[in-house]
Amino acid sequence: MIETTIDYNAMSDDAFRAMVREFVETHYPPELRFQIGQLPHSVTRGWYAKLAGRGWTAPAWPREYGGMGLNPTKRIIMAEVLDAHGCARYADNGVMMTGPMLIKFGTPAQREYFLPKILSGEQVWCQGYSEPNSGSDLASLRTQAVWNGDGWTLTGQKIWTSRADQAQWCHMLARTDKDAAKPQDGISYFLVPLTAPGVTIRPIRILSMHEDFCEVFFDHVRVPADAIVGEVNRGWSISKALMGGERLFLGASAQSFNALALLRKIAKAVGNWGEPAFMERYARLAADLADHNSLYEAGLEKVRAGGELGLEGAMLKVHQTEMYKRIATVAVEIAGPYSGVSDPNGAVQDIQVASTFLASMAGTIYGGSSEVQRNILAKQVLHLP
Amino acid sequence: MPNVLDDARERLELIRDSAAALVPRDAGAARARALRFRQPGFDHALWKQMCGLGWSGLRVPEDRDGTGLDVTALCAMAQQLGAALGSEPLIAVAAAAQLLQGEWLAGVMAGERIVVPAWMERAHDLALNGRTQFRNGKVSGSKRLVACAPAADAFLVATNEGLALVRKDAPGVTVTAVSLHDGCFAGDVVFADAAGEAIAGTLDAVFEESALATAAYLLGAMEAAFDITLAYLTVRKQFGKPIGSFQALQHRAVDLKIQIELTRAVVHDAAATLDDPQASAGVRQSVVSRARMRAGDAGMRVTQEAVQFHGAMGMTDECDIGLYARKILAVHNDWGSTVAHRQRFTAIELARHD
Repeated sequence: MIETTIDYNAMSDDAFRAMVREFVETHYPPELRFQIGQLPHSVTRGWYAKLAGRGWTAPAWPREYGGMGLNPTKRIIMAEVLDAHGCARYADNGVMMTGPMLIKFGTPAQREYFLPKILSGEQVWCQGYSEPNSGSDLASLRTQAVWNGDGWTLTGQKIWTSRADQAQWCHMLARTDKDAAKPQDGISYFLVPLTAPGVTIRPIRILSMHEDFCEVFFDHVRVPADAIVGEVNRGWSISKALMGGERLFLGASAQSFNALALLRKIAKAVGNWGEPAFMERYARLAADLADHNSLYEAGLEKVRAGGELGLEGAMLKVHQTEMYKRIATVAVEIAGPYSGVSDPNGAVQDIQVASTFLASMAGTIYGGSSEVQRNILAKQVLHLP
Repeated sequence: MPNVLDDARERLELIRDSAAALVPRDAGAARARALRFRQPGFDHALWKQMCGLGWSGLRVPEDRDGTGLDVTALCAMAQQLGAALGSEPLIAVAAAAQLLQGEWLAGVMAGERIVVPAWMERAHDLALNGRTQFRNGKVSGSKRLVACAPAADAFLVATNEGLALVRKDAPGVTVTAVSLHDGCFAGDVVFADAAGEAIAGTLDAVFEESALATAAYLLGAMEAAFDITLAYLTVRKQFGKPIGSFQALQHRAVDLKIQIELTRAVVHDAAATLDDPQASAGVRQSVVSRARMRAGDAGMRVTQEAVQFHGAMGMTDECDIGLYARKILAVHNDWGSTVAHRQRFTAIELARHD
């Protein structure tokens, strides 16, 4: 594994910011600026390769594993520069989820094999958690892994697997003990190649008419013994550790930031910009976003100090995704009659208001719905009976 | 008096039943799926059948061979159409028909011709005359998002010199089809010295009832979406229980019900006001805009909550709830945006309390 030789944390913040900005301005494809949502890997492949070439694919990974090893302050600076330039989210599950999971829970051989392929973009990953009858109640999942003598045989179905059709690998939960006293105690964590015989992937068309999610079927899919991460029947604790990180990630405000920029654009196009009644509403949303960022900063402050963002991270996820919906709702209102217009790509004279509105409704559902997050907050943060 | 009321109620029931027979609510989703994303976006044969039953001439007086029903009846039909996700051009054509005469009127009432009003020039602007010119029999100007324009035979164009009837095939008329999020079509129409026939009257009166009928349509759509959602709350199980047994969801479902009942009440009041010949123009405009504000806001709220209650399933195109979300999104700014109606209501309130 190539260790990144540069210690970015030793640079001054200003110098680091200038370096990232210069790189982004030089290499980020201009036609992909300020796109809403995650772009397909086929579209962002070139940009991913540029980042990989510079050793910048994984800002948060330790340098010994090929990451940038950035401290939280530098990580935020990097994210800020990318957001301000309008860099889109790319197929980042491998970098955001698989890598950190393997670094924390994987074997040296698993790290050695997978991490370089994630960094280079050779492997795109997806995450197989939800099942048709196990969404909010994830621990009830029924995909089974049975020991076959020299490995595991997986049978079952995953759903809402983001971009499985673009991925080659899936990290997923499966039941290895049906008789465990608590359903959480019979679940293991697997790494499964989607090219294996018996895997079928079917994209799901969503409201915005995009196909961002898939159903993945496993029909007697055989994987080797070392496809398991951590101990058998101890997969639930790995997924819980990962979901804490996901909440923080979903609490970041890029979606709302882009939607607010869209709202300004629409208000200017229809002539409402500057009109007092509109500005009063706009100001509420803009302040909401700024306050959110303050709360997010406060959460990161804890991480900076070496702590972990605990369950209160759920507040960020709830607030960010609901704020995104509020902004999208006002955008629809201000676009007025044009909000109902779509072309085959969902664009309205460059203003993607309807598809943004429809997409905004997903945030409060995936990654643990707002209802589940509120349950967690009420019980485990407020300690309500 | 009781007799008159009973008669009216009975007649309304008959109208509802006949509408429900033509566009049954249960078949709405499947029909909408079959018709969407390809022109004309509605069922032409069914539309002719509706016209045969008097739908296009619903508001045309009986002495002009129309059906002669009131605004309350129009709203009942629109509500039924909304509940069944119907995209047949009832509201637009019933509006135009009231201003037509002779052959055009006969053609429209028979369902052989489609004439729709063309009035909007800018978002959030309820001005009916706009900047479109009508001089020496020629119309020049442009209208945005004209309902059903690609399927229309002629447009009833609001100009600053009164109404003009312009055939779609007249030289100088250009229609650009605009696809809408519910899979239906409107059109941007440009008139460049296009021959037009002067039509007596104004769009003022039909504008109010069409704006209100749009609120009734939204009421039907949101009510159907709500009922589907309630059924889902009782069958979908998580944590071993129907999700409708969770108080957090129960309270929010009740809040939606309150919004729907408020919408029903204001639509009912507004229809009675428009049917009252004594009601002043200010009172009419105020109550119609109030109905549109409520229906628009409630519709969007029901849309978002219905999807949320369906969880990830609600985000799929396969799930019917999305058809209602798209329909409400596409329709809720017809005949004036929610913002425009709120501005008009504000202006009336200001004048009343100055």
